[in-house]
Amino acid sequence: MDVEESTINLVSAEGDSSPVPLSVAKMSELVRSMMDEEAEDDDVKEIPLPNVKSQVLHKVIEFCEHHLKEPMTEIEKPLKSNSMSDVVQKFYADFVDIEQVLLFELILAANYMDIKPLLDLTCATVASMIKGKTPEDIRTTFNITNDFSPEEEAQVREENKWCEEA
Amino acid sequence: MSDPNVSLFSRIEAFSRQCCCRKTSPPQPLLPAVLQSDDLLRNILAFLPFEEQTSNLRLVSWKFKMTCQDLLEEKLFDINVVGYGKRKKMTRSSVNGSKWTFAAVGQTILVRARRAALMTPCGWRRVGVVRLTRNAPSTTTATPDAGSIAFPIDKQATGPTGTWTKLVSCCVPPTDMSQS
Repeated sequence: MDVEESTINLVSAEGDSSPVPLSVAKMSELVRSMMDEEAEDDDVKEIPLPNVKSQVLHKVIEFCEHHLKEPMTEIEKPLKSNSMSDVVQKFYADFVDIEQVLLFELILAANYMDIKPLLDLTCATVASMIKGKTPEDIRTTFNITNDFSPEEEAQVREENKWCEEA
Repeated sequence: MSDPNVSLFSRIEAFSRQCCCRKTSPPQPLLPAVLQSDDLLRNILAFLPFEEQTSNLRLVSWKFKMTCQDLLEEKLFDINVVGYGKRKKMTRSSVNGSKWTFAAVGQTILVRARRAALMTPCGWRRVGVVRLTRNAPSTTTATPDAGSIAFPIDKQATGPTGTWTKLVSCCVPPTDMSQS
């Protein structure tokens, strides 16, 4: 990486400014496109990210910086394991070993900033929390309301039968 | 600092409104915004095995069910039923106008029929689930066989998990027809 690589400031929802190298910032397609749009201006020094909180933005930057040094291996579908350490390198497995709330915020940020590897990693992590669980377990884990009526649920179970006859 | 009195999910939901594209089921206040977004939930569930997409996951909520349905649609092969009738013998149906997808040997696929008489309101009727166990010889005429579905092979191509086989048509045994 160039020692004198120019930087750009990513500004969080709280107004905190984080200087990052262009190569890191441009992992975000959102940032990249905003920079392209502003290319006619002399210097783009700041990119506002009003939907991303500072804590989340720092995690995003941490991911992007590491990804440039050690790209994450592509996550195979379907997941072969419930443990992310069996799926991606240690750094990335540790990276998503975080509270569920932060994990969801990272997903939203990755989606908003359009960073596909981060979106894949975070979505796969949630999937690993779902894999092998019963519907009730999944609802409990993610605080999901069962919005099926008993009749509808019975119908879904009936529909599932034909799928199970492989 | 964030206000602890404001529900986290409320905040995430507000955030999500700016990111999400479409919503098809009623909002659930406690459901994280990620799981309310069709696109994001789809990204998540896409990492789960076919077997879960067709069973447990469909029972979690309407949102999960509809998202699984979308994912399964990708795996559904537009396969014309090769003739079906209790009184008629099997005949090959037209494949014109169908979009074909590649399936790997060993892959589980859903089969649905588009024959007019079998149409559901959404235009398709599910007629069975099969697991491809072998490559059939090229230009084979499908022969119905209780409990199995034959796939005449048109072409082969190299895919990410080895040799993939293009399905051109299939037979659906009458016994399978009655199950849906």
